[in-house]
Amino acid sequence: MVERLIRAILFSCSAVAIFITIGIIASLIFEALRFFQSVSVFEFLFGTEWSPQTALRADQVGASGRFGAVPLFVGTALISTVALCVSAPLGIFSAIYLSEYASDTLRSYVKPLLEILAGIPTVVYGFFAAIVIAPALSNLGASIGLEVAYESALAAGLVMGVMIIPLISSISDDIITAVPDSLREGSRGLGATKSETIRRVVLPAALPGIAGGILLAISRAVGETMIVVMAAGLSANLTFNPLEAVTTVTVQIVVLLTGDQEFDSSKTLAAFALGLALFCITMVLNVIGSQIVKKYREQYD
Amino acid sequence: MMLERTHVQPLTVNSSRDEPSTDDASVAPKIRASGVNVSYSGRLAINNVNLDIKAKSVTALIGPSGCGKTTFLRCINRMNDLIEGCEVTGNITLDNEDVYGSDVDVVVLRRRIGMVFQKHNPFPKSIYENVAYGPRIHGQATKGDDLNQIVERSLVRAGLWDEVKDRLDAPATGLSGGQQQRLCIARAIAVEPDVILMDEPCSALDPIATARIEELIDDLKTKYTIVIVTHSMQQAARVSQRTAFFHLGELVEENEAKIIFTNPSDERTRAYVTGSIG
Amino acid sequence: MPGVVDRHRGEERFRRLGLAAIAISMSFLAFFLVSIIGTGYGAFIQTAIKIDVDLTYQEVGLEETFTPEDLAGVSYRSAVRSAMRTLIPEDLGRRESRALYGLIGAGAEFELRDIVLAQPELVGTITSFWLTASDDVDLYNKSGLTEASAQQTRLTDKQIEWYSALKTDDRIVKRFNWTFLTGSDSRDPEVAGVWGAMVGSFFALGVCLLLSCFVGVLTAVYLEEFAARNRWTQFLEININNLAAVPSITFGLLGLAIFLGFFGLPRSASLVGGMVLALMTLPTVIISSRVALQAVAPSIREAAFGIGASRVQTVFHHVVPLALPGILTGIIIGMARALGETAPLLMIGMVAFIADPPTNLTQPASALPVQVYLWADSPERAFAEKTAGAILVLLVFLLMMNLFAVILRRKFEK
Repeated sequence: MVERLIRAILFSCSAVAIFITIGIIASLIFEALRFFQSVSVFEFLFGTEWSPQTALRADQVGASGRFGAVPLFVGTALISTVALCVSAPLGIFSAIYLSEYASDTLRSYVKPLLEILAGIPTVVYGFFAAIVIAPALSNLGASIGLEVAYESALAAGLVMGVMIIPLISSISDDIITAVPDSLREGSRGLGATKSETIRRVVLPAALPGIAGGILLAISRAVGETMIVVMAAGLSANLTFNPLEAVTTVTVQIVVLLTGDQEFDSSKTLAAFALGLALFCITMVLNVIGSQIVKKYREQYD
Repeated sequence: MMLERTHVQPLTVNSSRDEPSTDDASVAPKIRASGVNVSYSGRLAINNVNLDIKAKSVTALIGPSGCGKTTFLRCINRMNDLIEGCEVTGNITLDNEDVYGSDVDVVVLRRRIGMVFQKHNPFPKSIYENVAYGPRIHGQATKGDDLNQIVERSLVRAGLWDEVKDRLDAPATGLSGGQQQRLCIARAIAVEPDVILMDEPCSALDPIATARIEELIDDLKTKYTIVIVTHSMQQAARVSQRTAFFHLGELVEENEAKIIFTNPSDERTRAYVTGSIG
Repeated sequence: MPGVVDRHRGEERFRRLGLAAIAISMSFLAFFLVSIIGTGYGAFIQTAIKIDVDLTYQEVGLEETFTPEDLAGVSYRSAVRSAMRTLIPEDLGRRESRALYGLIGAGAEFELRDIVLAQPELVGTITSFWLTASDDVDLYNKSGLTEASAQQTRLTDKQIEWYSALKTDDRIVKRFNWTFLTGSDSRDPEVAGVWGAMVGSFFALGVCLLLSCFVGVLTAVYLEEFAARNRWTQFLEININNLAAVPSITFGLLGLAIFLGFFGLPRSASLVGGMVLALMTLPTVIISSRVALQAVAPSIREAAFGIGASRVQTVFHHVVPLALPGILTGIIIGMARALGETAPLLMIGMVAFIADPPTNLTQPASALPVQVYLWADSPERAFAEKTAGAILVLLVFLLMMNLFAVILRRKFEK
């Protein structure tokens, strides 16, 4: 009897995880559907003008506010790209050095230090980006005659890239270590040097797995909130220039929801539509990325 | 500076290849090991090994597992350099040149001494790319007809050409185990080595695939000096001209294969080949 | 044909490339810590000014037989101001007087009141007090007193002159800023502190710990020890792994729509904050608890079954205690992550200006990382060092939690 009761409790606990997922999906879809009653899906996904502010006045709900999310998607992509340009080479090369060259002692120091980078709260990165990096980049730009916006995509992306280095390096490290030594020996036995072996045998064998890791990193960058809220722009700006200020999906969610307003104005509902888009994008990236990583982590077991 | 000298005095010149093969014992050995000791982090693995290996023949190294035969094999092309804490003393020469000489570049050395491993280890690339790998890194041929020729010739010599000629771009890992091992042999001979070291090449294969590899070894000895480590005495008897018996890190006895297997001079060898130790 | 020499040269280049990548990453970390510590340590130091306050009966308007109520009703502001005026023996106009009062902090009168209320015997005397200086004086005092730093603060030339006079009179010191640790958020940087935010974080983490521990560990036990391997458990597993990678802000949206919108829980409350953080940490706790349970040798289970224990007894008497260190480590790491999380808290309204620490779970509260976010947005320059100071407090907490986890793991790995 007790046995069955405990089993029932355990089972219901495990169902909580399912309820959370259902809760997320249901709340996002429900609120987003209400949003799409006033704004067409087509305008949301393909519109290039984002100015939700004008919808603040109650008598104009949805009428004059523009909810074309393309500038947000482009801004998110731009900042994520900058972040990836920083973190992918640094992360992968760190992983190569750690797994192929570093002594055990060096490894035992460097790995925890990299973990620290991953453990620093994002709000701290945000502060750092806004207070240190952004002004520095702006001044640097000015000194060489380039106009760098104070809230440039570059500053936010750069700091976000640093945040993602440990994610990429630890996944790459796992994947590179999973490449069997017999391949390295085969190559060295043919007279290849160490770096030739790494570049022409180890890396090609690890590449798909590393790519999976990069997908996970992109997902993290896309969903990252605090760095961009603090260091990126607040107003939509459709541009591919990393020196200009752009805004992102997550920034707009925060901007739309942190004022004092009624719960069901188009502005609030738009945040849920953005949330739904964010959830879908990161979900797809995560599922594909983690499948690939899993496969290549275990392929030689 | 050291590397520069290596370059000027290339080990790659293959002087003996075109000379007629001979069994004459007076001919200098292809490889001569004298007083070779190997230790791993201070623990002695092989002790004072002296062995001459004749050109263009198959020499088999046999012995119970852990006897040091693989360790010795890996000294010849300095693969032991890759193992941390591994120390080799003594002298090994290839065509009278010191393999461990300060002016020797292992990259060039390993081009001359190819190796085939216990577990078939084709790279996760196409069949073609596997064979082309060595010639590419050594710059012997990088593209076009030259490379195609090398790939074809190597696959033909390894007895694999007919089986794979229509699917050179297929992934090598899709081949059967025996085919993969023959591909590894093709990969090794594509760089035109003098010597091929084989470390239990058939241990992961079924008897039919093993038979094909053994036939192949027999063919290859007309062009290459082959040193093979095997745990199978039958295999050693079948493929080798000379056989060396290792026991507890020492070279016990080396002689013509038929003598080792029929009338060894050392008691330990006799015990091993008759199956009472192993 | 690439020469062997070239090939070896490329070798070293490639190795250096890897080393450079690590060096760059490490120098980011170093730069980062150095600049945060460099900015933030100032938050723990404050400037105080010594003033001689005239507390004679006549001056403060008290009878000799005063009650505590009378004492509380004294105008400490004017007491502070007249003490300031006696420091500068000049005749000042109204505007200049105001500039003079601007040297002392906005909270000085309350400091004085608290001291006098605690020591009523001071009434009737003239006593020297060290009271907190204003944020501008504080910044100038800490900044090296150069021309440039004077320009960066909003001090006038006259104020700087007074400052120098006080300084030569040994009436200005730097002291440890307890207010920063004991005070709550304020519009005035010199009295702002992190205590209120720490209490909010503590409440939210408490809720988060209770929920995610209970649900997380039991889920892990169910999946590892009870559930059959079937579609349902597979689905659960995939689901949990995916939840672990969902952006944290999504959990905030869930909290907003369901906890606030549907259940009508109070906005800005640490209860809701804790619930949202629990949703976010749950996958981490489940995954690490499962790893800990998997590490328990199967022989333990067989031994327990062998002496006739039921499955529940086996699991809760034998397996879970053995896995406990691993489970705890996972929980601590999950909590550390929850402590640093900001975005979901913004969604449920924990961004309000909170001047008093919350006393229960449903009161509006702030949290340490949210405080960092709010202060980072403040225009006053003095808040920049407060922000970095709050970050240091946050990092110290995280460091302690992680160290604890490491020690726990080391201790039980043996």
